[in-house]
Amino acid sequence: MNALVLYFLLLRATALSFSGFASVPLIREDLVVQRAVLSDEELNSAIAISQASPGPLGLYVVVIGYFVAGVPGAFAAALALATPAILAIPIARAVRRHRDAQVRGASAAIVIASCVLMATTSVTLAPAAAPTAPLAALAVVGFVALASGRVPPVVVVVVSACLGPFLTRL
Amino acid sequence: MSVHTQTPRHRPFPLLEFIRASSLHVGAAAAAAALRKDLVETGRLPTGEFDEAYAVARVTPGTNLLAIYTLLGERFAGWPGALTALSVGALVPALIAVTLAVAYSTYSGHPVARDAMQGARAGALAVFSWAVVRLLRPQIEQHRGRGIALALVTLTLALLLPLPPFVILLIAGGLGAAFLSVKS
Repeated sequence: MNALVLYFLLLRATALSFSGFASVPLIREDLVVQRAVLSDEELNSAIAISQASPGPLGLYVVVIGYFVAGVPGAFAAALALATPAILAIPIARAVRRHRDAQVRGASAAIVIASCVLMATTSVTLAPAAAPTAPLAALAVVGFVALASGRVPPVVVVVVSACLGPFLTRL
Repeated sequence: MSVHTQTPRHRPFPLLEFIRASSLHVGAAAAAAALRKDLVETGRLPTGEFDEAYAVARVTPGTNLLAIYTLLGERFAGWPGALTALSVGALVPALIAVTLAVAYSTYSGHPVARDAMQGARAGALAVFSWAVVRLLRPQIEQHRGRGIALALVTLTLALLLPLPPFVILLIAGGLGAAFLSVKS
């Protein structure tokens, strides 16, 4: 895929999301469902790799860019990830003019809608991410560990990677 | 939410602090906490300016952490500072992520690496699913009935109508501007 096309597709997804993973449903729709240049397994892998790397949660977009179009794709994805942040300065100026009520209302609604879309995407991704009962159990244990508030995401991903070779043989 | 309106002061640009925050910390919360420690607790940036950057970043589309870098960079050196901080915040971790992706692509044929990645994918599913709960809970607590109604409308649109996700988000944004507007 052309890196410029990839940039605009990823930019549309990142510009319409207010958190790192909120762009997953849009990217899956564009790259997995519509254009078939990425598989669900690669999407899951990109999320896993980004969780083992420093930086924002949305960094998985860069790994997707690499999977789809190599290093130029990764660069295009990094640009797509960074571009919406430039809007922060005009938004700050709008806030200074006390027009933040509508901005906050729209962003809150997009976060809520994104969560619903993320939940449906999570259900769609589950068969590829946890295809066997032991791996599904690992995902559930990881979720409970995160909900406890005592385990950071990077630990869940790294421990899961260490257990993977044992659990896939069960 | 109000934002300081004074022009950026002549302060040394904290390039090393931005590089450290973007290369050592996983997730926005950890990186923002590190920046706060390095900039606010050392007296280089007033607490109010940091908090306002954090608040504005929350309502900026895209990655919150990169918006924080942009706004903090602007406080130190105007637009050039904003673009420098944004570049550091995006490119440094991107370089690390691409290195990991190359390693994955190189060794993905090895049975142990393949199985380890399968385990990591199960862990990533947990992280992704937990992100849904973590993001949704404060919004529902704040907006209650209207928030739940909006979630149900979104679910209905997603399940029953063949609308692309970005159209659903645009509809939600319009509804939110009309019905969820809250003065802070």
